Amino acid sequence: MIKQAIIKYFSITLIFVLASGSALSLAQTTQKEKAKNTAGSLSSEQKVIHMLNRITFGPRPGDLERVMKIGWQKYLAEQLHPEHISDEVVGTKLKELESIRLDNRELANNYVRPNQVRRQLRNRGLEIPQPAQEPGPQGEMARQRREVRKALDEMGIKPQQEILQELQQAKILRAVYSEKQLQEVMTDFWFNHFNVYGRKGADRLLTTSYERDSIRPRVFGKFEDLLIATAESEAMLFYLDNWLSVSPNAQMGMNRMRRLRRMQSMPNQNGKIPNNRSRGLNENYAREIMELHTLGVDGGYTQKDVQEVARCFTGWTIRGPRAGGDFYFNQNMHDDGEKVVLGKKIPAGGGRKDGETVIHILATHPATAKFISTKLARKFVSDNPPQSLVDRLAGSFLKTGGDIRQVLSVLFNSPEFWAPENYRAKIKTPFEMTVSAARATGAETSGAPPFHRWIAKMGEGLYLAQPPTGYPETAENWVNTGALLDRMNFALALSSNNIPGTRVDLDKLVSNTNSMKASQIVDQYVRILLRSEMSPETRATIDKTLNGQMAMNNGQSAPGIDISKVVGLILGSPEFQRQ
Amino acid sequence: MKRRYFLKNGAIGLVSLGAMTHSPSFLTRVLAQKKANSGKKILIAIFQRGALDGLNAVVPYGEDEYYKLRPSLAIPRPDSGQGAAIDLDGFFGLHPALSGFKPIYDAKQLAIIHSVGSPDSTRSHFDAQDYMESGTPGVKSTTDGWLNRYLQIKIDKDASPFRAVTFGANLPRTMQGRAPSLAMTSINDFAIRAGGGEMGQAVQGGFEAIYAQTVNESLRNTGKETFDAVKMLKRVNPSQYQPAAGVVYPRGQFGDRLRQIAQLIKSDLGLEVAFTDLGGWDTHANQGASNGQLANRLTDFSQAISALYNDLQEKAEDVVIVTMTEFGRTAKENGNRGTDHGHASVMFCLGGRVNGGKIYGKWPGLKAEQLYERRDLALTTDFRDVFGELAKNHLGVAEPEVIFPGHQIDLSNIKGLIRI
Repeated sequence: MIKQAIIKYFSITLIFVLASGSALSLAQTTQKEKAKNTAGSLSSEQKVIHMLNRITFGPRPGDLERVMKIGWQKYLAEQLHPEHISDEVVGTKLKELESIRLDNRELANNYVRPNQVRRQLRNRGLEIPQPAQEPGPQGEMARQRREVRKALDEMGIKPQQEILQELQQAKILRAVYSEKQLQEVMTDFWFNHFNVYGRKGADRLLTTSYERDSIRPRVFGKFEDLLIATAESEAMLFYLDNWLSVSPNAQMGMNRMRRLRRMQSMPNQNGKIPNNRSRGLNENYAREIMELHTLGVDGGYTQKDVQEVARCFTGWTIRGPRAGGDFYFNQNMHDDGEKVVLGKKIPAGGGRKDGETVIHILATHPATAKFISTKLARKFVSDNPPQSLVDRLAGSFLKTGGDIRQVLSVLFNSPEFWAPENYRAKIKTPFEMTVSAARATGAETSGAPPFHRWIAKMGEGLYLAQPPTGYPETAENWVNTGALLDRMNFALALSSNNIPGTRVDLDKLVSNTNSMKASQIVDQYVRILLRSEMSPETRATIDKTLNGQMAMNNGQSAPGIDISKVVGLILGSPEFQRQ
Repeated sequence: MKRRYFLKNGAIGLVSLGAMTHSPSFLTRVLAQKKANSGKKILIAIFQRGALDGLNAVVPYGEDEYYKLRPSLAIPRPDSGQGAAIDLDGFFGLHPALSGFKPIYDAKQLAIIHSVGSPDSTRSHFDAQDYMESGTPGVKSTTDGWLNRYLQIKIDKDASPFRAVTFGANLPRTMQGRAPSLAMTSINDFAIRAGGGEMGQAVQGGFEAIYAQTVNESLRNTGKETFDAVKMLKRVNPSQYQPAAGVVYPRGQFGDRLRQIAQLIKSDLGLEVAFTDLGGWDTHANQGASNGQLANRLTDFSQAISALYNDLQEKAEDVVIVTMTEFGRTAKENGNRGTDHGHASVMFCLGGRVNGGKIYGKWPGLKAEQLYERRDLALTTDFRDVFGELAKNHLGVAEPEVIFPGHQIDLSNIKGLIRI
């Protein structure tokens, strides 16, 4: 795919590079530069590795060579304009997943909630099998499951959990296979920044369109557009409760009021829906849009600002979220009085414009520029990004009106990004680690749930961050004993083909091993999976482990070694945890 | 068994890699003296993330203002039929979903601290959790957590790798720091899965050696802690665990985690501090009253904790279980039958030596002028004082101020919480 794109858009340059033979000379200088690296800058090969480690989900076999040929500058330019990249492989893979193309209403109609599934099954005399306290007869549970699945298929019913499961599957597939790698990295970044929890009520169905329609198309655009898109998204309005926020003085018609109450209510202890006239603001979204989406917690707002912003956003609501209804502005719920936000007066009578004014104030605020820049620098450069870089990014953010593509461009061309101390200095998050292992080994995956279960086990279940902060980015959150074991066990499970739905063919990675000694074979895998950048100690350990194996195999030579364990050790090694 | 494994691997060259040079002397000690835990005090800390509504968990039913502020959320007064609060002391009552706590309260082994929390005014979940875990409200630059600072007081390189355990996928802020501490999602998954037999052992040995040599300090230390713990757990084999007769943990993650904490304690693995958390307390909308969202969370919460407590049996004498939450919620309900971010909340404290059966703290009242910033339950006890009391009189820390730098611990509101 990369190749196609290159030929299509950079053919002239490519021909030039090839004709002049500079690709060859590049490879030659690499050796010299590698030796020079200790003196203070990355070799050209390391530069490409660094770029691939940071703007993609990790290099696949052959990626390094391809990018070496065109140069990282061209590769970056290409990645910053995904609209020109063709992406057929992932397109084909995603075809299987029906729900990811449906809109909210279609999802609500086609996928039913668990209690409805249960009811429909009961009508046919079936129960969903529950894992019993006492284990029943062998295979009984599996038989019941099959029966239930068959009945559901016949009735054309799909359980609602399938929506989130397919979304997780699609995210894994995109990360592993998409050629628009930086777009997917940024989609993950912005989703996490504007986090919603995929299992909160109606967000079980609203999250699909949230990522697809609100986030992905805007990841390189203007920050303000992204902020508006998330503010108007049903998923966010639901997640942070703004859809329920009503002006205390709202002029709401009694019918609408009653309907809203009914939607919101649960029976009280007497089993009755309380007929209560209390109504009011909900501060949840107002607080988080300032603390987490824009200004940052030290961005200089007060509790009073939170209340004023909440007043501005009253009326930004959803028409029946659980039925997949749309966002709309409800004037009757809106507080139309005058407000003061961060010292700026918002005159009475603004209606829907109040919220838009707030978004504009926040999106263009210097504290926002700083907050977003810090997060980007932490994501792409280092856990403790240098202030000089953050300042420069913030400057670019303000100057370009929050143009994300331009800010990223400054970041990737900064000396801080290329500083040797930042090379392989960041610890991969669980999602990054698992996907990069699949990419490095050229795994074939359907993204089926067993793969996701590993990510979830390590604490980064996709779309499953419950708090609005999303998942943390820095190493101290991800390096701990349990998680480290999970990483090693994942590496072994992947390399031994113990993850249903995902397969690696390790023999295919290395050709002609027949005449090689065991140690040479290991060398080949270390080269392919880690560009030979493994500490001599780690390397020696793998050899020794191998020797142990061979001793156990009565001195059998190469074909007797268990390559899956070797690859497991490499993927589970400290070196592979870094990017 | 262990010995054979060492010899085997030695024969194939692992010993020379230094994999065994740091074999935990704790292991050998454990062989000699079976009971690593005997007499050692244990603290189990539970974080309710999202901000628990203390006013509905421990209801001030004696205060009329409560019913005025919460027309649809209030828990009815005791003896007013179904869903009524469970009377504790004539003024406060337990939410009916906390009924599992009542017998322990009556046995004077459960204490409640009301109107407690962090004095910092932040209403950000993130900041408030951070402050409660670092133990330094208002100071963001603190690098370690207060539970870790407690562990630092007596760092012992021969200590059990299970000295400090978190159940969860991430190491929480409060456990981060210089003292070793371990996180796991489940005991059964805590092993290298490389197939059985010699091969599996060789791979485990390989990983252990690789991590022992890496230059990255945090990966190296974490690796060492991991493998020490793996080996030890294998010895003890706690997978065949049966809770005490009559104890049933509720199904679900929280119950599972507490069951495993009991498992570690009863296996005498040297546990001193355990931490776990549970979310779902951020009830901005449709909080429910006697039934509903909050009630469901409280049911799970109290059933799991009571199960743990009852499961500990005579061990409970050495254990304190304490709960915390980052802040409380608005005294007045909002327009969505929920509550927004507030200030003070409640803590629960259980243990064989807890002077329970009463409610500690000063009640600040709920009249407008008594509320914090005219909207939230005011704070009368600093959470650090509660932890300070536990550190001092349960864990035996002479100067608990070391754990809470910059704070003068004041025990006046919680005098006698722990029986000495």
